[in-house]
Amino acid sequence: MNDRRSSPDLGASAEALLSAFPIPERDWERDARAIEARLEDSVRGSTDALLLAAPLPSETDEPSSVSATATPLTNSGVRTQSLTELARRSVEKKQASERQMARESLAIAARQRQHPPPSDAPPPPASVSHVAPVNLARADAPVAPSNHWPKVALALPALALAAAALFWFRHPEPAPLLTNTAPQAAEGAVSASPIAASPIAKPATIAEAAPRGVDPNTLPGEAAPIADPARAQVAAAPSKLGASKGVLKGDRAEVAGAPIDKSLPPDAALRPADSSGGELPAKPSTGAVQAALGSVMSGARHCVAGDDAPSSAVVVFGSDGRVQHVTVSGAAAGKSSATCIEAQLSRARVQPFAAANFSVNATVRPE
Amino acid sequence: MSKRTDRELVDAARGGDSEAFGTLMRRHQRRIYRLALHLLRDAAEAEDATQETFVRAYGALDRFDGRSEAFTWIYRIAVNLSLNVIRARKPNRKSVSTEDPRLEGVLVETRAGSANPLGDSENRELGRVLCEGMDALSDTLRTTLILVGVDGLSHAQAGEVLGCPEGTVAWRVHEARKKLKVFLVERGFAPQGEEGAA
Repeated sequence: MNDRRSSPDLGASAEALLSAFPIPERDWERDARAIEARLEDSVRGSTDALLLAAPLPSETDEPSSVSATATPLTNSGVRTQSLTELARRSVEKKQASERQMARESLAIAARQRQHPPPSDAPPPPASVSHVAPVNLARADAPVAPSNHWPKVALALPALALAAAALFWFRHPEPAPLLTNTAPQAAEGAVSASPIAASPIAKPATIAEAAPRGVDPNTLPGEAAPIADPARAQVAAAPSKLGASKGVLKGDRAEVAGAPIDKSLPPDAALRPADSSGGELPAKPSTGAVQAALGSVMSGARHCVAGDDAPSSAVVVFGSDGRVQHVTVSGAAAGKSSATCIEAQLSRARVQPFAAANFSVNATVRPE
Repeated sequence: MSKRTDRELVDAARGGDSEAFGTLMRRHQRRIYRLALHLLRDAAEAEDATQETFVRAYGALDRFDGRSEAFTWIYRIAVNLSLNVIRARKPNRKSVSTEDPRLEGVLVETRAGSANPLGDSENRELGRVLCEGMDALSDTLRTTLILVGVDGLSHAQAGEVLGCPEGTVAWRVHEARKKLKVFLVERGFAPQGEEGAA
């Protein structure tokens, strides 16, 4: 059952001791009866939900990728690919092959325009020569009837292929799954496409470049960078969705006043949320702070259970969104419960912000 | 009658079978006590925490959703209760006393199993340094190491207890063992074949 894998070896004696640490023998039956006696007075449903929550904060240097998105190790110790990764690769592979097909079709169409196969089509009459080459802009130009049909029959598939190629070239790069780069990738695909720069192509917008079936208005907000897994969880939590959206909207409003990269569209509505180089809000929104503190407050209240008076705490958030320090005053000050409150409130997290730090007062009332 | 699984016992206890919960408790009582003893380093507190764990587990039976093993669910309650005790007393207590209850077991074990007094003494000293090294770890690393290294839980089971992915458990165990190894080496307990390396 012991799952050591490639952990550092402590030496045979230490390993043996660690894996079979003996416990002093006790009268277990007496202990069990004592517990059963207590169970008779116990009320079902009386246990605090906090005791059923995941204990312990992350280590400070714990790699976030490990805690957030690590792929599980198989029993043999081989790291497997995540489903997200597999899906992304599958989509990329499919779209790459489709683009390749479109390119090949375009090349064939171009060759057919320049060197029509002599065996399939009758030699063009002299009067038709000035109609070629086929151009999308001249597609509606008058064509001489009757004897021009073979040429038109050749041109139509070529046109259809060219249109298909145009469609696929304007299609964005595969939108990454669960990542925050969708708008930029789409924009990159539009600007890199040679067809998009042609006079035929309409000016591309982010809305057009967004993946089909997705409301482009939702993309920037959803794609806002969430580096910390804890924040990602908070953002994904349905109960805090409203607060998260509020923060994102606030971020966008504040970013609007900042200098914008010249390479981006002038219309703010067409720019991705972090188009100003990932600029952060000056400070966390009230809703975000309330949500963050609210999520840890019940734990803090436990610390002062039994106290008569409430305690106050000044919580200072660092620019990374983590709590830098907590100062407790009031009834719990100087007691062990102050340490407990500090530990509980230190678990609060908000979105990263631009200011060096941000402090907020919190009142911890006894339960 | 065949031995009932933990889940069957939980289901029966939910239905009002108090004996079922008693059976479940007796099955995991020692492990929970050992976990609490290693986390709290105090026999009386460990006993209280063990009692409290089962009382609270009984009180929360209706909220056991069956997504994890029953014993990892009980372990989580034990870890939370033990951490609450540790947080409440942190300013006052930190060091390991000579009467560390964890070493009591080591002494009894070596006396019974070995006729070599020098070996006993070395083992006792190793046990003491090992306990000190574990106490020097952060709560997060120490708890993870105790669950995996001492209690023998798999990374997946420890992940269920701690509410984190297997990869995180693996990383924490690796870090904890790395630090513990350095601690042991600094005190002259280098792994065999690495004496010169220290």
